[in-house]
Amino acid sequence: MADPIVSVRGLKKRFGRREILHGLDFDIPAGRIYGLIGHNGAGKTTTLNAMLGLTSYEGEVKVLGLDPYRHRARLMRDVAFISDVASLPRFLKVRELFSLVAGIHPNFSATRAMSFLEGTEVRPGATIGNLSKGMLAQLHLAVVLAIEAHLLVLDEPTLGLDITYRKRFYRRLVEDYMTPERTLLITTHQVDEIEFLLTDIMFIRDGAVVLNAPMTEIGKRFAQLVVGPGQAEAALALKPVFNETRFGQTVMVYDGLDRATLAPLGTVSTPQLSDLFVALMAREPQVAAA
Amino acid sequence: MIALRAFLALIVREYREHRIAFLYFPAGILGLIALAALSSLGFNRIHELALPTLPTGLKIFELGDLVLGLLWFFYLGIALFFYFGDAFAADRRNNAMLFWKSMPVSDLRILISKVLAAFTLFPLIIVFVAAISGLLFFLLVMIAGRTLPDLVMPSPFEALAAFGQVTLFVVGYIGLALLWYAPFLAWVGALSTVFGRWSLPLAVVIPALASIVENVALFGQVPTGGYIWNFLKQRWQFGLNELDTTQILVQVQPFDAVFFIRRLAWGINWPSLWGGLVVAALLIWLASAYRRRRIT
Repeated sequence: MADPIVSVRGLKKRFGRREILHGLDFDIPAGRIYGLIGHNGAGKTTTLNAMLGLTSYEGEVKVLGLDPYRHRARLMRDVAFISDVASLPRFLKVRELFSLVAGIHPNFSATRAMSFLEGTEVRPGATIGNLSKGMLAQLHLAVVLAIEAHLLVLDEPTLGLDITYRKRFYRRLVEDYMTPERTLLITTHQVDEIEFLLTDIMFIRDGAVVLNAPMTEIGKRFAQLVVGPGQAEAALALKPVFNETRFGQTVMVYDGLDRATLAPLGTVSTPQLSDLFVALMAREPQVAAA
Repeated sequence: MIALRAFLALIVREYREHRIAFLYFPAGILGLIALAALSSLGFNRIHELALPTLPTGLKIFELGDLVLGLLWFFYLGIALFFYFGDAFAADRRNNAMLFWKSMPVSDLRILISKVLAAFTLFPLIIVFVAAISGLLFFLLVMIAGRTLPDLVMPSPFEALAAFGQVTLFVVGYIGLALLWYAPFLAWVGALSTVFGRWSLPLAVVIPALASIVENVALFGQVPTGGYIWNFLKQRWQFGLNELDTTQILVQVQPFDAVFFIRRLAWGINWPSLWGGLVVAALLIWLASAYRRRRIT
Protein backbone atom coordinates (compact mmCIF):
# COMPACT_ATOMS: atom_id res chain seq x y z
CA MET A 1 0.00 0.00 0.00
CA ALA A 2 1.31 3.46 -0.89
CA ASP A 3 2.37 5.80 1.90
CA PRO A 4 -0.41 8.14 3.00
CA ILE A 5 -0.19 11.77 1.98
CA VAL A 6 -0.89 12.81 5.57
CA SER A 7 -0.05 10.78 8.64
CA VAL A 8 -0.99 12.07 12.07
CA ARG A 9 -0.16 10.31 15.34
CA GLY A 10 -0.99 11.57 18.81
CA LEU A 11 -1.52 15.16 17.65
CA LYS A 12 -2.05 17.44 20.62
CA LYS A 13 -2.22 21.17 20.81
CA ARG A 14 -2.47 23.42 23.82
CA PHE A 15 -3.22 27.11 24.07
CA GLY A 16 -1.94 28.00 27.49
CA ARG A 17 -3.25 25.37 29.89
CA ARG A 18 -6.16 24.43 27.66
CA GLU A 19 -5.72 21.40 25.45
CA ILE A 20 -7.49 21.91 22.14
CA LEU A 21 -6.55 18.68 20.37
CA HIS A 22 -6.44 15.51 22.43
CA GLY A 23 -4.12 13.18 20.55
CA LEU A 24 -5.56 12.77 17.06
CA ASP A 25 -4.60 9.76 14.94
CA PHE A 26 -5.47 9.50 11.27
CA ASP A 27 -4.05 8.91 7.80
CA ILE A 28 -5.13 10.48 4.53
CA PRO A 29 -4.25 8.40 1.47
CA ALA A 30 -3.56 9.86 -1.97
CA GLY A 31 -6.35 10.50 -4.45
CA ARG A 32 -9.08 11.05 -1.85
CA ILE A 33 -11.40 13.96 -1.16
CA TYR A 34 -11.67 14.35 2.59
CA GLY A 35 -14.22 16.42 4.40
CA LEU A 36 -13.15 17.58 7.84
CA ILE A 37 -16.30 18.51 9.66
CA GLY A 38 -16.88 19.92 13.11
CA HIS A 39 -18.51 22.67 15.14
CA ASN A 40 -16.88 26.05 15.60
CA GLY A 41 -14.05 25.53 18.07
CA ALA A 42 -13.98 21.77 17.55
CA GLY A 43 -10.32 21.93 16.44
CA LYS A 44 -10.64 21.69 12.64
CA THR A 45 -8.59 24.75 11.82
CA THR A 46 -6.01 23.94 14.49
CA THR A 47 -5.64 20.46 12.97
CA LEU A 48 -5.22 21.97 9.51
CA ASN A 49 -2.76 24.56 10.83
CA ALA A 50 -0.66 21.76 12.35
CA MET A 51 -0.73 19.89 9.03
CA LEU A 52 0.30 23.01 7.14
CA GLY A 53 3.15 23.92 9.48
CA LEU A 54 1.43 27.06 10.68
CA THR A 55 1.48 26.15 14.34
CA SER A 56 3.60 24.07 16.69
CA TYR A 57 2.17 20.88 18.20
CA GLU A 58 2.89 17.75 20.20
CA GLY A 59 2.84 14.37 18.51
CA GLU A 60 3.92 13.36 15.04
CA VAL A 61 2.61 14.86 11.83
CA LYS A 62 3.97 13.93 8.42
CA VAL A 63 2.70 15.52 5.24
CA LEU A 64 4.26 14.15 2.07
CA GLY A 65 6.91 12.67 4.32
CA LEU A 66 7.90 16.00 5.85
CA ASP A 67 7.47 17.49 9.30
CA PRO A 68 5.31 20.48 8.37
CA TYR A 69 6.39 22.79 11.19
CA ARG A 70 10.08 22.30 10.46
CA HIS A 71 9.79 22.33 6.67
CA ARG A 72 6.78 24.54 5.89
CA ALA A 73 8.47 26.40 3.03
CA ARG A 74 9.66 23.16 1.40
CA LEU A 75 6.26 21.55 1.90
CA MET A 76 4.41 24.42 0.26
CA ARG A 77 5.97 23.51 -3.08
CA ASP A 78 3.64 20.49 -3.14
CA VAL A 79 0.80 21.67 -0.96
CA ALA A 80 -1.62 24.47 -1.76
CA PHE A 81 -4.12 25.89 0.66
CA ILE A 82 -6.78 28.52 1.02
CA SER A 83 -7.61 29.55 4.55
CA ASP A 84 -9.29 32.82 3.73
CA VAL A 85 -10.02 34.00 0.22
CA ALA A 86 -9.72 37.61 1.38
CA SER A 87 -6.06 37.10 2.28
CA LEU A 88 -4.64 37.88 -1.17
CA PRO A 89 -2.37 40.95 -1.18
CA ARG A 90 -4.70 43.85 -1.91
CA PHE A 91 -2.17 46.30 -3.26
CA LEU A 92 -1.40 44.13 -6.30
CA LYS A 93 -3.17 43.91 -9.63
CA VAL A 94 -4.25 40.43 -10.73
CA ARG A 95 -1.46 40.11 -13.31
CA GLU A 96 1.09 41.36 -10.77
CA LEU A 97 -0.08 38.68 -8.35
CA PHE A 98 0.44 35.98 -10.99
CA SER A 99 3.86 37.37 -11.80
CA LEU A 100 4.79 37.41 -8.11
CA VAL A 101 3.60 33.85 -7.46
CA ALA A 102 5.36 32.67 -10.63
CA GLY A 103 8.56 34.18 -9.22
CA ILE A 104 8.37 32.52 -5.82
CA HIS A 105 6.55 29.27 -6.55
CA PRO A 106 8.39 26.76 -8.77
CA ASN A 107 5.19 24.76 -9.45
CA PHE A 108 2.94 27.66 -10.40
CA SER A 109 1.96 28.52 -13.97
CA ALA A 110 0.72 32.06 -14.60
CA THR A 111 -0.64 30.98 -17.99
CA ARG A 112 -2.75 28.28 -16.36
CA ALA A 113 -3.97 30.70 -13.72
CA MET A 114 -4.95 33.19 -16.42
CA SER A 115 -6.82 30.45 -18.27
CA PHE A 116 -8.80 29.62 -15.13
CA LEU A 117 -9.98 33.22 -15.01
CA GLU A 118 -11.43 33.06 -18.51
CA GLY A 119 -15.19 33.31 -18.32
CA THR A 120 -15.08 35.10 -14.97
CA GLU A 121 -15.45 38.80 -14.27
CA VAL A 122 -11.92 39.04 -12.89
CA ARG A 123 -9.75 41.14 -15.22
CA PRO A 124 -5.92 40.91 -15.24
CA GLY A 125 -5.60 44.67 -14.76
CA ALA A 126 -7.96 44.80 -11.79
CA THR A 127 -6.58 45.75 -8.38
CA ILE A 128 -7.24 42.93 -5.93
CA GLY A 129 -8.42 45.32 -3.23
CA ASN A 130 -11.27 46.39 -5.51
CA LEU A 131 -12.61 42.88 -6.20
CA SER A 132 -15.80 41.56 -4.63
CA LYS A 133 -15.60 38.59 -2.28
CA GLY A 134 -16.94 36.27 -5.00
CA MET A 135 -14.29 37.49 -7.44
CA LEU A 136 -11.61 37.07 -4.77
CA ALA A 137 -12.71 33.46 -4.32
CA GLN A 138 -12.45 32.87 -8.07
CA LEU A 139 -9.04 34.50 -8.19
CA HIS A 140 -7.69 32.59 -5.20
CA LEU A 141 -9.00 29.34 -6.63
CA ALA A 142 -7.32 30.16 -9.95
CA VAL A 143 -4.04 30.66 -8.09
CA VAL A 144 -4.17 27.34 -6.23
CA LEU A 145 -5.45 25.41 -9.24
CA ALA A 146 -2.47 26.68 -11.23
CA ILE A 147 -0.11 25.13 -8.67
CA GLU A 148 0.95 21.56 -9.42
CA ALA A 149 0.23 20.44 -5.87
CA HIS A 150 -0.26 16.95 -4.47
CA LEU A 151 -2.44 18.14 -1.64
CA LEU A 152 -4.94 20.98 -1.63
CA VAL A 153 -6.33 22.14 1.69
CA LEU A 154 -9.37 24.38 1.82
CA ASP A 155 -10.45 25.79 5.17
CA GLU A 156 -13.97 27.19 4.91
CA PRO A 157 -13.15 28.39 1.37
CA THR A 158 -16.63 29.60 0.54
CA LEU A 159 -17.39 31.40 3.78
CA GLY A 160 -19.40 34.54 3.03
CA LEU A 161 -20.05 33.64 -0.62
CA ASP A 162 -23.51 33.41 -2.08
CA ILE A 163 -24.89 30.11 -3.34
CA THR A 164 -24.01 30.79 -7.00
CA TYR A 165 -20.34 31.35 -6.25
CA ARG A 166 -20.23 28.40 -3.85
CA LYS A 167 -21.59 25.99 -6.45
CA ARG A 168 -19.27 27.37 -9.15
CA PHE A 169 -16.33 27.10 -6.76
CA TYR A 170 -16.87 23.41 -6.00
CA ARG A 171 -17.68 22.50 -9.60
CA ARG A 172 -14.45 24.09 -10.77
CA LEU A 173 -12.55 22.32 -8.03
CA VAL A 174 -13.72 18.89 -9.10
CA GLU A 175 -13.36 19.57 -12.82
CA ASP A 176 -9.99 21.30 -12.80
CA TYR A 177 -8.10 20.01 -9.80
CA MET A 178 -8.90 16.42 -9.02
CA THR A 179 -6.81 13.63 -10.52
CA PRO A 180 -6.14 10.17 -9.05
CA GLU A 181 -2.79 11.40 -7.68
CA ARG A 182 -4.13 14.46 -5.96
CA THR A 183 -5.71 14.77 -2.56
CA LEU A 184 -8.20 17.34 -1.40
CA LEU A 185 -9.04 18.21 2.18
CA ILE A 186 -11.97 20.52 2.86
CA THR A 187 -13.50 21.94 5.98
CA THR A 188 -16.82 23.69 5.78
CA HIS A 189 -20.03 24.23 7.65
CA GLN A 190 -22.11 23.79 4.51
CA VAL A 191 -21.93 20.01 4.73
CA ASP A 192 -24.71 19.41 2.19
CA GLU A 193 -22.88 21.32 -0.52
CA ILE A 194 -19.76 19.19 -0.45
CA GLU A 195 -21.37 15.83 0.26
CA PHE A 196 -21.53 14.98 -3.44
CA LEU A 197 -17.78 15.34 -3.95
CA LEU A 198 -16.41 13.66 -0.80
CA THR A 199 -14.85 10.23 -0.79
CA ASP A 200 -14.15 10.27 2.94
CA ILE A 201 -15.47 12.04 5.98
CA MET A 202 -13.89 12.93 9.28
CA PHE A 203 -15.86 14.43 12.15
CA ILE A 204 -14.00 16.24 14.88
CA ARG A 205 -15.70 17.04 18.15
CA ASP A 206 -14.02 18.81 21.07
CA GLY A 207 -10.55 18.07 19.75
CA ALA A 208 -11.09 14.36 19.08
CA VAL A 209 -11.95 12.39 15.94
CA VAL A 210 -15.41 10.87 16.38
CA LEU A 211 -15.78 9.48 12.88
CA ASN A 212 -13.25 8.76 10.13
CA ALA A 213 -14.71 6.65 7.34
CA PRO A 214 -15.09 6.42 3.56
CA MET A 215 -18.43 7.68 2.31
CA THR A 216 -19.18 4.21 0.96
CA GLU A 217 -19.02 2.87 4.49
CA ILE A 218 -21.40 5.49 5.86
CA GLY A 219 -24.39 3.91 4.09
CA LYS A 220 -23.44 0.48 5.34
CA ARG A 221 -22.66 1.49 8.89
CA PHE A 222 -25.30 4.08 9.74
CA ALA A 223 -29.04 3.78 9.40
CA GLN A 224 -31.78 6.32 10.01
CA LEU A 225 -35.12 5.16 11.28
CA VAL A 226 -38.35 7.13 11.15
CA VAL A 227 -40.08 5.37 13.99
CA GLY A 228 -43.49 3.91 13.24
CA PRO A 229 -46.52 4.41 15.53
CA GLY A 230 -46.12 2.63 18.86
CA GLN A 231 -42.56 1.49 18.12
CA ALA A 232 -40.64 4.13 20.07
CA GLU A 233 -39.93 1.93 23.09
CA ALA A 234 -38.62 -0.90 20.92
CA ALA A 235 -36.54 1.50 18.80
CA LEU A 236 -34.97 3.07 21.88
CA ALA A 237 -34.11 -0.36 23.22
CA LEU A 238 -31.81 -0.84 20.21
CA LYS A 239 -29.63 2.05 21.52
CA PRO A 240 -29.67 4.69 18.79
CA VAL A 241 -26.73 7.11 18.75
CA PHE A 242 -29.18 9.95 18.23
CA ASN A 243 -32.84 10.63 18.34
CA GLU A 244 -35.05 13.64 17.83
CA THR A 245 -38.59 14.59 16.95
CA ARG A 246 -39.12 16.43 13.66
CA PHE A 247 -42.53 17.65 12.60
CA GLY A 248 -44.20 15.10 14.83
CA GLN A 249 -42.01 12.22 13.64
CA THR A 250 -39.42 10.53 15.81
CA VAL A 251 -36.16 9.98 13.97
CA MET A 252 -33.35 7.81 15.31
CA VAL A 253 -29.86 7.14 13.97
CA TYR A 254 -28.08 3.82 14.57
CA ASP A 255 -24.45 2.89 14.22
CA GLY A 256 -23.58 -0.61 13.04
CA LEU A 257 -27.04 -2.09 13.36
CA ASP A 258 -28.46 -4.42 10.74
CA ARG A 259 -31.19 -2.74 8.71
CA ALA A 260 -33.28 -5.90 8.81
CA THR A 261 -33.54 -5.48 12.58
CA LEU A 262 -34.81 -1.92 12.17
CA ALA A 263 -37.19 -2.50 9.26
CA PRO A 264 -40.16 -3.70 11.39
CA LEU A 265 -39.92 -0.54 13.53
CA GLY A 266 -40.50 2.04 10.80
CA THR A 267 -38.95 3.47 7.65
CA VAL A 268 -35.21 2.87 7.31
CA SER A 269 -32.90 4.99 5.15
CA THR A 270 -29.29 6.17 4.93
CA PRO A 271 -28.84 9.42 6.85
CA GLN A 272 -27.79 12.55 4.99
CA LEU A 273 -24.37 13.83 5.98
CA SER A 274 -25.96 16.81 7.70
CA ASP A 275 -28.20 14.47 9.73
CA LEU A 276 -25.22 12.35 10.65
CA PHE A 277 -23.35 15.49 11.62
CA VAL A 278 -26.15 16.54 13.94
CA ALA A 279 -26.39 13.00 15.29
CA LEU A 280 -22.71 12.49 16.05
CA MET A 281 -21.72 16.00 16.99
CA ALA A 282 -24.39 16.61 19.62
CA ARG A 283 -22.52 17.41 22.83
CA GLU A 284 -25.47 16.44 25.04
CA PRO A 285 -26.75 12.87 24.82
CA GLN A 286 -29.94 13.20 22.78
CA VAL A 287 -31.14 9.68 23.42
CA ALA A 288 -31.98 10.37 27.05
CA ALA A 289 -34.33 13.15 26.00
CA ALA A 290 -36.68 10.76 24.21
CA MET B 1 18.64 30.02 -9.20
CA ILE B 2 15.12 29.44 -7.82
CA ALA B 3 16.14 31.22 -4.61
CA LEU B 4 17.45 34.21 -6.55
CA ARG B 5 14.27 34.38 -8.62
CA ALA B 6 12.21 34.27 -5.45
CA PHE B 7 14.24 37.08 -3.89
CA LEU B 8 13.81 39.20 -7.01
CA ALA B 9 10.06 38.57 -7.05
CA LEU B 10 9.79 39.47 -3.37
CA ILE B 11 11.83 42.64 -3.86
CA VAL B 12 9.55 43.61 -6.75
CA ARG B 13 6.63 42.95 -4.42
CA GLU B 14 8.12 45.40 -1.89
CA TYR B 15 8.53 47.96 -4.64
CA ARG B 16 4.89 47.56 -5.70
CA GLU B 17 3.68 47.88 -2.15
CA HIS B 18 5.80 50.91 -1.28
CA ARG B 19 6.32 52.67 -4.62
CA ILE B 20 4.25 55.63 -3.44
CA ALA B 21 6.82 56.47 -0.74
CA PHE B 22 9.92 55.71 -2.76
CA LEU B 23 8.99 56.75 -6.30
CA TYR B 24 5.74 58.63 -6.72
CA PHE B 25 6.19 60.97 -3.76
CA PRO B 26 9.85 61.85 -4.56
CA ALA B 27 8.86 62.35 -8.20
CA GLY B 28 6.08 64.67 -7.01
CA ILE B 29 8.50 66.63 -4.84
CA LEU B 30 10.88 66.89 -7.78
CA GLY B 31 8.13 68.14 -10.06
CA LEU B 32 7.00 70.67 -7.49
CA ILE B 33 10.52 72.03 -6.97
CA ALA B 34 11.09 72.15 -10.75
CA LEU B 35 7.90 74.17 -11.12
CA ALA B 36 8.98 76.46 -8.29
CA ALA B 37 12.37 76.95 -9.99
CA LEU B 38 10.68 77.73 -13.29
CA SER B 39 8.50 80.23 -11.50
CA SER B 40 11.57 81.95 -10.01
CA LEU B 41 13.08 82.14 -13.48
CA GLY B 42 9.82 83.57 -14.76
CA PHE B 43 10.06 86.37 -12.25
CA ASN B 44 13.69 86.82 -13.35
CA ARG B 45 15.07 87.79 -9.94
CA ILE B 46 18.37 85.97 -10.41
CA HIS B 47 20.13 89.05 -11.72
CA GLU B 48 19.50 90.68 -8.31
CA LEU B 49 21.74 88.13 -6.56
CA ALA B 50 24.20 90.15 -4.52
CA LEU B 51 27.17 88.07 -3.44
CA PRO B 52 30.44 89.78 -2.40
CA THR B 53 32.47 87.40 -4.52
CA LEU B 54 30.54 85.28 -6.95
CA PRO B 55 31.76 81.65 -6.92
CA THR B 56 32.24 79.88 -10.22
CA GLY B 57 29.29 78.23 -11.87
CA LEU B 58 30.97 74.87 -11.28
CA LYS B 59 31.27 75.50 -7.54
CA ILE B 60 27.65 76.60 -7.28
CA PHE B 61 26.57 73.48 -9.13
CA GLU B 62 28.73 71.16 -7.00
CA LEU B 63 27.57 72.63 -3.71
CA GLY B 64 23.95 72.79 -4.80
CA ASP B 65 24.04 69.22 -6.05
CA LEU B 66 25.66 68.05 -2.79
CA VAL B 67 23.01 69.82 -0.73
CA LEU B 68 20.29 68.24 -2.87
CA GLY B 69 21.93 64.85 -2.41
CA LEU B 70 22.02 65.41 1.35
CA LEU B 71 18.34 66.41 1.38
CA TRP B 72 17.41 63.28 -0.56
CA PHE B 73 19.47 61.26 1.90
CA PHE B 74 17.37 62.70 4.73
CA TYR B 75 14.24 61.86 2.79
CA LEU B 76 15.47 58.28 2.32
CA GLY B 77 16.28 57.97 6.02
CA ILE B 78 12.80 59.10 7.06
CA ALA B 79 11.10 56.96 4.42
CA LEU B 80 13.10 53.89 5.49
CA PHE B 81 12.24 54.51 9.15
CA PHE B 82 8.53 54.42 8.26
CA TYR B 83 9.10 51.54 5.81
CA PHE B 84 10.65 49.32 8.49
CA GLY B 85 7.86 50.32 10.85
CA ASP B 86 5.24 49.30 8.31
CA ALA B 87 6.60 46.60 6.01
CA PHE B 88 7.50 44.11 8.74
CA ALA B 89 3.90 44.13 9.93
CA ALA B 90 2.21 44.65 6.55
CA ASP B 91 1.49 40.95 6.01
CA ARG B 92 -0.64 40.85 9.14
CA ARG B 93 -3.18 43.22 7.63
CA ASN B 94 -6.27 41.73 5.96
CA ASN B 95 -5.21 38.24 7.01
CA ALA B 96 -2.55 38.36 4.27
CA MET B 97 -0.19 36.31 6.44
CA LEU B 98 -2.19 33.22 5.46
CA PHE B 99 -1.48 33.87 1.79
CA TRP B 100 2.25 34.35 2.36
CA LYS B 101 2.41 31.24 4.53
CA SER B 102 0.90 29.26 1.65
CA MET B 103 3.91 30.15 -0.51
CA PRO B 104 7.12 28.10 -0.51
CA VAL B 105 9.20 30.82 1.09
CA SER B 106 10.34 30.91 4.68
CA ASP B 107 9.54 33.81 7.00
CA LEU B 108 13.25 34.59 7.22
CA ARG B 109 13.51 34.85 3.45
CA ILE B 110 10.53 37.20 3.30
CA LEU B 111 12.04 39.48 5.94
CA ILE B 112 15.45 39.38 4.22
CA SER B 113 13.77 40.43 0.97
CA LYS B 114 12.30 43.43 2.79
CA VAL B 115 15.75 44.36 4.10
CA LEU B 116 17.29 43.87 0.66
CA ALA B 117 14.67 46.11 -0.91
CA ALA B 118 15.41 48.74 1.72
CA PHE B 119 19.16 48.53 1.21
CA THR B 120 19.32 48.22 -2.57
CA LEU B 121 16.27 49.09 -4.65
CA PHE B 122 14.85 51.99 -2.64
CA PRO B 123 18.20 53.79 -2.20
CA LEU B 124 18.88 53.30 -5.92
CA ILE B 125 15.57 54.95 -6.76
CA ILE B 126 16.37 57.85 -4.44
CA VAL B 127 19.88 58.19 -5.92
CA PHE B 128 18.24 58.29 -9.35
CA VAL B 129 15.84 60.98 -8.18
CA ALA B 130 18.75 62.87 -6.59
CA ALA B 131 20.63 62.66 -9.89
CA ILE B 132 17.67 64.07 -11.79
CA SER B 133 17.33 66.89 -9.27
CA GLY B 134 21.06 67.55 -9.79
CA LEU B 135 20.52 67.79 -13.54
CA LEU B 136 17.60 70.15 -13.03
CA PHE B 137 19.77 72.26 -10.76
CA PHE B 138 22.46 72.31 -13.42
CA LEU B 139 19.89 73.68 -15.89
CA LEU B 140 19.06 76.36 -13.37
CA VAL B 141 22.74 77.27 -13.01
CA MET B 142 23.08 77.37 -16.81
CA ILE B 143 20.16 79.75 -17.08
CA ALA B 144 21.60 81.85 -14.23
CA GLY B 145 24.89 81.94 -16.14
CA ARG B 146 23.17 83.60 -19.06
CA THR B 147 21.62 86.20 -16.74
CA LEU B 148 24.74 86.91 -14.67
CA PRO B 149 27.64 87.87 -16.97
CA ASP B 150 30.22 87.61 -14.11
CA LEU B 151 29.40 83.99 -13.45
CA VAL B 152 32.06 81.74 -14.94
CA MET B 153 30.32 78.71 -16.41
CA PRO B 154 31.94 75.28 -16.66
CA SER B 155 32.42 73.48 -19.95
CA PRO B 156 29.97 70.62 -20.60
CA PHE B 157 32.77 68.13 -19.85
CA GLU B 158 33.60 69.82 -16.51
CA ALA B 159 29.92 69.91 -15.60
CA LEU B 160 29.44 66.24 -16.48
CA ALA B 161 32.54 65.29 -14.48
CA ALA B 162 31.28 67.26 -11.47
CA PHE B 163 27.85 65.67 -11.79
CA GLY B 164 29.46 62.22 -11.86
CA GLN B 165 31.66 62.99 -8.84
CA VAL B 166 28.77 64.29 -6.74
CA THR B 167 26.54 61.34 -7.72
CA LEU B 168 29.35 58.93 -6.83
CA PHE B 169 29.75 60.62 -3.46
CA VAL B 170 26.00 60.48 -2.81
CA VAL B 171 26.05 56.73 -3.61
CA GLY B 172 29.04 56.17 -1.30
CA TYR B 173 27.56 58.31 1.46
CA ILE B 174 24.17 56.59 1.35
CA GLY B 175 25.76 53.13 1.15
CA LEU B 176 27.95 53.67 4.21
CA ALA B 177 25.17 55.43 6.11
CA LEU B 178 22.80 52.52 5.52
CA LEU B 179 25.38 50.08 6.84
CA TRP B 180 25.98 52.32 9.86
CA TYR B 181 22.29 52.74 10.70
CA ALA B 182 21.34 49.13 9.80
CA PRO B 183 20.93 48.03 13.45
CA PHE B 184 18.54 50.89 14.16
CA LEU B 185 16.42 50.07 11.09
CA ALA B 186 16.46 46.37 11.98
CA TRP B 187 15.41 47.33 15.52
CA VAL B 188 12.40 49.21 14.11
CA GLY B 189 11.59 46.26 11.83
CA ALA B 190 11.84 43.71 14.62
CA LEU B 191 9.57 45.81 16.84
CA SER B 192 7.16 46.19 13.93
CA THR B 193 6.91 42.41 13.58
CA VAL B 194 5.63 42.28 17.14
CA PHE B 195 3.87 45.61 17.69
CA GLY B 196 2.95 46.73 14.16
CA ARG B 197 3.06 50.49 13.59
CA TRP B 198 3.51 51.11 17.31
CA SER B 199 7.12 50.21 16.56
CA LEU B 200 7.66 53.77 15.32
CA PRO B 201 7.32 55.47 18.71
CA LEU B 202 8.56 52.40 20.59
CA ALA B 203 11.84 52.40 18.65
CA VAL B 204 12.67 55.67 20.41
CA VAL B 205 10.71 55.27 23.64
CA ILE B 206 12.31 51.95 24.67
CA PRO B 207 15.94 53.16 24.52
CA ALA B 208 14.94 56.48 26.08
CA LEU B 209 13.20 54.65 28.92
CA ALA B 210 16.17 52.32 29.38
CA SER B 211 18.44 55.35 29.60
CA ILE B 212 16.18 57.07 32.14
CA VAL B 213 15.96 53.92 34.26
CA GLU B 214 19.74 53.56 34.16
CA ASN B 215 20.25 57.16 35.23
CA VAL B 216 17.71 56.97 38.03
CA ALA B 217 18.75 53.55 39.31
CA LEU B 218 22.47 54.27 39.16
CA PHE B 219 22.26 57.95 40.05
CA GLY B 220 25.73 59.33 40.62
CA GLN B 221 27.39 56.05 39.66
CA VAL B 222 27.35 56.56 35.89
CA PRO B 223 28.93 59.20 33.64
CA THR B 224 26.78 62.22 32.78
CA GLY B 225 23.84 60.98 30.73
CA GLY B 226 24.56 57.34 31.51
CA TYR B 227 26.23 54.58 29.51
CA ILE B 228 23.21 53.88 27.32
CA TRP B 229 22.66 57.49 26.30
CA ASN B 230 26.35 58.06 25.59
CA PHE B 231 26.56 54.88 23.54
CA LEU B 232 23.48 55.80 21.51
CA LYS B 233 24.76 59.36 21.00
CA GLN B 234 28.09 58.07 19.73
CA ARG B 235 26.35 55.39 17.60
CA TRP B 236 24.05 57.97 16.05
CA GLN B 237 26.86 60.19 14.72
CA PHE B 238 27.73 59.74 11.08
CA GLY B 239 29.13 61.94 8.35
CA LEU B 240 32.10 64.04 7.38
CA ASN B 241 33.80 65.99 10.12
CA GLU B 242 33.75 69.78 10.28
CA LEU B 243 37.17 70.10 8.65
CA ASP B 244 36.14 68.08 5.61
CA THR B 245 32.88 69.98 5.30
CA THR B 246 34.74 73.29 5.38
CA GLN B 247 37.16 71.99 2.77
CA ILE B 248 34.28 71.15 0.45
CA LEU B 249 32.91 74.65 0.90
CA VAL B 250 36.11 76.59 0.29
CA GLN B 251 38.27 74.48 -1.99
CA VAL B 252 38.71 75.74 -5.54
CA GLN B 253 39.61 72.36 -7.02
CA PRO B 254 36.79 70.28 -8.50
CA PHE B 255 35.02 68.02 -5.99
CA ASP B 256 36.79 64.66 -5.60
CA ALA B 257 34.26 61.99 -4.59
CA VAL B 258 36.81 59.24 -3.93
CA PHE B 259 38.82 61.47 -1.61
CA PHE B 260 35.82 62.41 0.48
CA ILE B 261 34.40 58.87 0.55
CA ARG B 262 37.78 57.80 1.90
CA ARG B 263 37.59 60.57 4.49
CA LEU B 264 34.11 59.40 5.41
CA ALA B 265 35.26 55.78 5.69
CA TRP B 266 38.26 56.88 7.74
CA GLY B 267 35.97 58.52 10.28
CA ILE B 268 33.86 55.39 10.71
CA ASN B 269 34.34 53.15 13.74
CA TRP B 270 34.53 49.92 11.74
CA PRO B 271 34.35 47.43 14.62
CA SER B 272 31.20 49.24 15.71
CA LEU B 273 29.82 49.07 12.17
CA TRP B 274 30.47 45.34 11.86
CA GLY B 275 29.10 44.76 15.32
CA GLY B 276 26.00 46.70 14.32
CA LEU B 277 25.54 44.53 11.26
CA VAL B 278 25.73 41.40 13.42
CA VAL B 279 23.11 42.90 15.75
CA ALA B 280 20.94 43.78 12.74
CA ALA B 281 21.19 40.21 11.42
CA LEU B 282 20.29 38.85 14.85
CA LEU B 283 17.28 41.16 15.13
CA ILE B 284 16.01 40.10 11.70
CA TRP B 285 16.43 36.45 12.62
CA LEU B 286 14.55 36.97 15.89
CA ALA B 287 11.80 38.78 14.00
CA SER B 288 11.51 35.85 11.57
CA ALA B 289 11.36 33.38 14.46
CA TYR B 290 8.49 35.39 15.97
CA ARG B 291 6.74 35.73 12.62
CA ARG B 292 7.03 31.97 12.07
CA ARG B 293 4.75 31.50 15.06
CA ARG B 294 2.15 34.00 13.84
CA ILE B 295 -0.63 33.41 11.36
CA THR B 296 -2.51 36.65 11.94
